[in-house]
Amino acid sequence: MPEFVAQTLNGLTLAGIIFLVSSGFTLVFGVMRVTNLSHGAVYLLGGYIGYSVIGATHNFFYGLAAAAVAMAVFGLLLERTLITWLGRSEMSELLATLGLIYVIDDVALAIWGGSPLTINLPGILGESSTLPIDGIVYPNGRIFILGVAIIVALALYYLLRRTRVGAIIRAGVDDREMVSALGINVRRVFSLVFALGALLAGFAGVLGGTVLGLYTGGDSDILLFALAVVIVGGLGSYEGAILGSIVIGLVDNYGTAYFPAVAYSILFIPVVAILLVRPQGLFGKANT
Amino acid sequence: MTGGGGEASAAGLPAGGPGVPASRRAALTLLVLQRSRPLTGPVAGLAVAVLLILLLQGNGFTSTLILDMLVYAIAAMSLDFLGGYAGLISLGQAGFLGVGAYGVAIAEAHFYSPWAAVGIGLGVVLALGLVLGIVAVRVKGISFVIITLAMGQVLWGLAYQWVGLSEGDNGISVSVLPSIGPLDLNNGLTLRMTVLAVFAVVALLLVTFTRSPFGLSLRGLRSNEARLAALGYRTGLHRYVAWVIAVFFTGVAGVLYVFVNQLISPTTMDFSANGLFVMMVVLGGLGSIWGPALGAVVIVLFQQELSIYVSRWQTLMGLTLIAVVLLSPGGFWGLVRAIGRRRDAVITRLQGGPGDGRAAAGRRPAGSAPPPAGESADGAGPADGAGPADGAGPADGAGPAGEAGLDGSPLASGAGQPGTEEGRAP
Repeated sequence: MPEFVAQTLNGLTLAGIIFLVSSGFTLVFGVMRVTNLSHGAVYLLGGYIGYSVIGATHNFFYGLAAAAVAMAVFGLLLERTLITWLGRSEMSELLATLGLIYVIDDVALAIWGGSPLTINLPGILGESSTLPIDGIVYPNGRIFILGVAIIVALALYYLLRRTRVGAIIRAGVDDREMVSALGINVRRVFSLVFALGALLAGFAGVLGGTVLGLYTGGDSDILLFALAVVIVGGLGSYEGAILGSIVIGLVDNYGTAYFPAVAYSILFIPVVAILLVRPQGLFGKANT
Repeated sequence: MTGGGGEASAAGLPAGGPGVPASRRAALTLLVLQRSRPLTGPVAGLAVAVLLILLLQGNGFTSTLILDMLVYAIAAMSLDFLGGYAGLISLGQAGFLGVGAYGVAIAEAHFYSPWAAVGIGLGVVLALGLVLGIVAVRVKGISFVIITLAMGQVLWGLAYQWVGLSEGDNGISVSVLPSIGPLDLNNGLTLRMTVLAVFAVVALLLVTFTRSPFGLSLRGLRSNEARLAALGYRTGLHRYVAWVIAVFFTGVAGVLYVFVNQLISPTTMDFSANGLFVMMVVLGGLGSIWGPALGAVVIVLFQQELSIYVSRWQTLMGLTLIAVVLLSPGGFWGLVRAIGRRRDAVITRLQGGPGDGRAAAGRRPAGSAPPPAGESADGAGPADGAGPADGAGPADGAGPAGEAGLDGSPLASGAGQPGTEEGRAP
């Protein structure tokens, strides 16, 4: 039983990281209809940048902030250049961002090398404490990640549901033409959402670097998680990203713990089940 | 020049030579162009075939390189059949190549005879295609890409993690190849010729499929599925069949892959490999079958040749894909097509017919100003009724394919795709 509780907590920690990545991915798709396949590569690049900044400043939080800001700027540039040049062609954007993965991965390989890196958490976050349930000893860092993910989820929820910008973003998901017809600068909203998605991915890269490590191919692993999340939750839905992340995080972690030979494939079970019953995902709308 | 007869307007052409009337020179050019039109494809194909047979005689690096290209080309062409015609771009293709290859390798490791192993490999990939197709073709567009990507990653995960079956990271080697009578694949030359033959058969089959009523209805459902469904086509079934065909032929490529390389490991089917197949198709030209074969040649050259000289070849490869998507959505084959269209334009211009003032205007010296819109290559249609260079003529395109270019092509900007050309027909 303690083992199961620990695995559940591990699953939820993973879900937190997956959520940070997939919420950006799904928001960008929802508002802009852009499938940014390089989202996983942005996550990895953020992690690497965080690693270097932490190495230079010896401060974990500087690394976290640097990765988030750097990736937000990167996302903004990407949106203003490549995505704008491609002008609203869903498949072209998908293919161009596929090409971008090879570029980012290769550049990261050139700078940070091929051996896996791990980011260490500072001070008390790097230690473990005994939980009140069954006396489990559990790393503080993972609880920290879970807490951060929950805070980000609430903040995003507030942004989307309680602010004017959020109202515009939600309206953009539903009917982009109508939003621009109302005189709202949709271009600025697009840039904002794209930068926000990249920021979250870079942020997640540093947090993920402490638990999952940073390694070549780590980007496609996290991308698969994000894709599984949007299939389960529904492409473009924020609520779907939350629920999907929890499902995928738990399923993957139980799979790795109890069925290591087929862990990666067990992810496919919720995906197939959803596709058969509700192809548009739990919170998705038909025709997207 | 206005309203002049044939002779009079011919004066508008550049003087041919002292003794040769310009009109005869034009007629000769026309004859050559028209006669060469139906021959270009077969002659080029034959030339490439002869060249490949000659190059594959040796046992050296060139042969290995060409074998790689041929195997990848089979998978890339299959993917194009699904992506370029049915509009379903799969990012899980390397997974199915891996299934074919692992099927053979695992069966041989369990002491099945090589021929039985081939049967098992193809059987497994076919069965998997039939089952996964039920899930995959429920969605299209971006969702289809995402789901096939997930499938590909899961197949990779099995190869990587299920060590008991797949030997994990080390992969499985295959040392004994099938043989029957004089056809012994353990002989290098026989193997190379067999790969070439299988490539030719698959390519011709796929081209035949695309020109069949089935292929035309695939293009139709890509551009306007609702209309095709209203006409009574079972569009879901069409997509399913296209999917199964593409998966099966990719499995065939996988079987050849394991025989050529004598080793299959998870890296053959990782995310990067899946992306490479899509890259081959897009670089070569979506919806052209031969283009992706060309794309396979380019990508293999990137991997095997360029990587020797440039350490950051992957960056270059990614940038190439981005550049093609941005600048030339028709890919390399789009450029080949453009040459074909140019010839058609010249034919139409020369055929313009005497006594027609507008045609005479179009007869200005070669290279100046494109012909008037009404006479553009495909629209006017040459007198002999032959279609655009790809052979799918407007005549058989009267059905669904006639609308193929209007909307919904895989790349929305899709210049240079078959649909776009025919869509312009009045």
